[in-house]
Amino acid sequence: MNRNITLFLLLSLSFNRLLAQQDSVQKTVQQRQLFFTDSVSSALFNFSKNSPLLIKELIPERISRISIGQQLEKGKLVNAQGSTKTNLSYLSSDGSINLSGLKLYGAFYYHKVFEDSTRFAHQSRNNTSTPYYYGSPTNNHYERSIYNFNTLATKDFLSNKISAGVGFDYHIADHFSNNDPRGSLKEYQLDSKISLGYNFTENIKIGGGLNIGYGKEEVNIGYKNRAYYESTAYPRYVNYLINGYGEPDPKLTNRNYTNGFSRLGYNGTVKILNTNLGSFYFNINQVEEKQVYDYRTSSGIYDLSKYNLTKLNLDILWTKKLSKGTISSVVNFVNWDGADFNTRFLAKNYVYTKNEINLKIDYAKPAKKHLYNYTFSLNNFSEDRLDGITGNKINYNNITFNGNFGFLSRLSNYRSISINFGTHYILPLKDNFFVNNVTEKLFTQEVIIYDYLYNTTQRFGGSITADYSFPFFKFMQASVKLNMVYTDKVGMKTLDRNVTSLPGKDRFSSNISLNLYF
Amino acid sequence: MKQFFYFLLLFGITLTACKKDKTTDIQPVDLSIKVLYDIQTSGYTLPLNNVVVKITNVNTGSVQSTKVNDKGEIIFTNTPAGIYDIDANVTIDAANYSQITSIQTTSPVTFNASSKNTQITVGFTGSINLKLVAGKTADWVIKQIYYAGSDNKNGALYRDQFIEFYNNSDKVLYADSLCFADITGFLSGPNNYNLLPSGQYDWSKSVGMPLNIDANNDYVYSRALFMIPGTGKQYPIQPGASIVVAQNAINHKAPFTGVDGKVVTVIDPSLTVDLSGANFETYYGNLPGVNPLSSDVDTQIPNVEVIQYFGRDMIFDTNGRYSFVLFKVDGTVNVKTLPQYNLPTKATPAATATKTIQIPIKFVLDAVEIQPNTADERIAKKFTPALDAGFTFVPLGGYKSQSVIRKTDKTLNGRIILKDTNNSTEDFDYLNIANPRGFK
Repeated sequence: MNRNITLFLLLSLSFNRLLAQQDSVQKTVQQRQLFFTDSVSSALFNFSKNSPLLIKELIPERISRISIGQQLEKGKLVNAQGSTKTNLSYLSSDGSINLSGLKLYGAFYYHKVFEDSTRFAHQSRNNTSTPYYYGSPTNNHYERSIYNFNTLATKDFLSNKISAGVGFDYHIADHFSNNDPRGSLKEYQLDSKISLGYNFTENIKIGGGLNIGYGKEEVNIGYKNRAYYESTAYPRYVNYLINGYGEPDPKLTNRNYTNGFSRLGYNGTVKILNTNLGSFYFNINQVEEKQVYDYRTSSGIYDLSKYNLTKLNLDILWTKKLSKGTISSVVNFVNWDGADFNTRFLAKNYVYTKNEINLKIDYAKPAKKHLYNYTFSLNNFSEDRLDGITGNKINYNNITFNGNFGFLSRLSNYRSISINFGTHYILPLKDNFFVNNVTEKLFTQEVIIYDYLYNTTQRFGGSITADYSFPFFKFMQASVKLNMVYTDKVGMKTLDRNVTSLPGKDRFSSNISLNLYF
Repeated sequence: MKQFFYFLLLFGITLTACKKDKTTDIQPVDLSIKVLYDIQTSGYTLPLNNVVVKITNVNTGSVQSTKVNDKGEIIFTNTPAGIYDIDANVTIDAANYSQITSIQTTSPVTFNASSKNTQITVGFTGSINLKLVAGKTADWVIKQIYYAGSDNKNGALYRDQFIEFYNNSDKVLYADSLCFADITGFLSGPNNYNLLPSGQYDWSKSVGMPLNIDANNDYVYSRALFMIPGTGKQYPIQPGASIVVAQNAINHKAPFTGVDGKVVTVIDPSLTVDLSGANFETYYGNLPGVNPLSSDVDTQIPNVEVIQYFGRDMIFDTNGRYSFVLFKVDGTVNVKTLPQYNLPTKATPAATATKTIQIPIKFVLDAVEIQPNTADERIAKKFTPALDAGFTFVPLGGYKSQSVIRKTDKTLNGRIILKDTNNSTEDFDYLNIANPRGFK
């Protein structure tokens, strides 16, 4: 009997311990899920990806998530070279871990994109400032398979006086259209960051290093119907070479090129932590990117164009715990300066400038079983394109206001539900429009003028996001997230010239995802 | 905290240092054009204010057109640098022309000038001068050229090619001894030749070329030359009627038996033409050293006299890189003994190198410059404005059944008069399916 009692007690104890352990696991994984529902935590998490020297403080010791989702975007309120209907399936995963002082962050994503009607852009979607690419007036059905791998790692040495960090981003993608003209673009990009930091004190740290990268794009335009490339008699199927920001030339033969990228720049980080005013993080990333376009045959390599693009990003994060919540503010300044070297005229023909200032304030206020998220952001965006051959000069500057309110409620058994409402308003501030009407043809009408009208259009919209989270297989937390965004055209400029193509009325996007946290 | 402020200071300096030059090295230019008549020694002055100048960007196809002022000047402002075809054109009515020049004429006189493939460079500040010349118009014109051939799988390839000549006058003309030639010029490729600034052959550098002639402006050079037979008045052609010279005067829509005994059929007869009604054909079967194509059937249709040839039949370049002249020599010259010269190679040509026949343009009745259908395949013009101020081409390119055809100008008492301003860009259109004796 005693033996039985002892056995029962042991079993009970083990079971209770097991239950307690299980309880602890579920609590931990729920906290990991809740980390991403907190707007301030998310802001800090996203900010940390700017430099390996930031992940130590801003990313939890251990967190992992996997997402699988489907996104649909639809509507003609989109830039001229965008797609009027996009179906995106994705699988993404990221996480962090601390291995004996080595802090690691890794991410992977795979995107499979189906674009219904892409025009004048046999391009990837990540080099849109370039002056040199192919494009066709017809609606192309594009399929894109995109893989991204990102890693950041940091470790302190010499009694934590020195921090070393590295980061690698590898991007590989395959884009092709399955109707004439059949664009095919294969690309890869590899970027690395190497940083060294000096920690003056526990709370004041400074670092800097190099950004080095390279990549390649191989572009080819094929046809099933020979008649479409044997002449310009079928204008909608003509493959054009866009080389600047004016009317392009038909490119019927030798329809391929290679674009080689090389990047070199610097990065810098300053951290001032735990002051009475909160914690401050400053980060700067600068890269000089050189793109060399060439045509390769067995007899040699012929330069087609060169494009230099300087990218500067300055990010400032301030965060502070307040009496009832946590606040964070991110200020982000982006400047891109691009200029080409036109090998036909042996001179600089195209100048591109982008300036962006973002201010985002997040306030997360936890209550007993609730969490309230307040977000306000401002984005001032301006873009200039200058084409010397035609004298085209287009500039626009607009501001986007964004406000979000979110509410999360913790339910029993580690479940939670959250809902988030947002609104956005895009207000054009000023612009400059000169398009040489001497040269005006299809590209000018359907891309340059269209984009000017799109970018100077007032837009207003709203969004709603709902997220239901629950334990999953006892060692994971799952959430099902649904998000919908609607944007409506409020007002558009009129132009005193022939306009053949106008942006549509609205744009809708929806996203559903299953997310696992562990 | 001090370090932080140093950092901000450093950052500010960096931002300032990063300021880029945001101007381009290229700006649109003001293109100044001046036209004048090439009649300096004539003693009279023709009006300039109706001259129309047209500039066409070869690559983008954008066109601007306007009249010059009474000094013959015009400025096209904000013109992008690039390659342009520049054309000037004016037609002076017969009464006005007769009054000004005291040269009696019953037809309007058209003057043309052109500067094709003209590079307008970045920062161009000069002026382009164009000399208006009166085109030679004759009673005979080249009416239709079917050089492109038809589909190489479903059609008749190039064996259905033909050329058509038209009596554009109001009197009966005789086709006897009428000659036509396939005119050669520099196409592209390794530059092993002496070339003019225009990019065409510099014929004056051909071996043996006399020094006392203007080899580039007073002559054209053939790679194939044909003559219509006849005794002088054997082949009368009525006003408004034409003669068709076929590579093979057979109905290409229907099966026929080739010289090798095999039956030749086309998969899609709608792509080709019936040339059984042609007036003449070419036959290479009796030429020395030629292994004729199996399609080169010697039909009942009379053969033209083949004076110069290449290949295995009268095959026109389906890409449109060669041009055509129609001419008739006078009694002082024998076509068969016209001088022959090598291409103007930089190196001394081999004794066996191909020779071209030198044709004096004074004998040319009509000339049509053909070019490839796409801008990036364009080649330097072979003809001066005195022969053809423009050029023409079939828009779909080779093997698409299209022909170039001279436009109808007007119909007078039931007789169709074809347009002839000596500028084939203006005078010619195209047919989607070549049509011997058709009109457009």
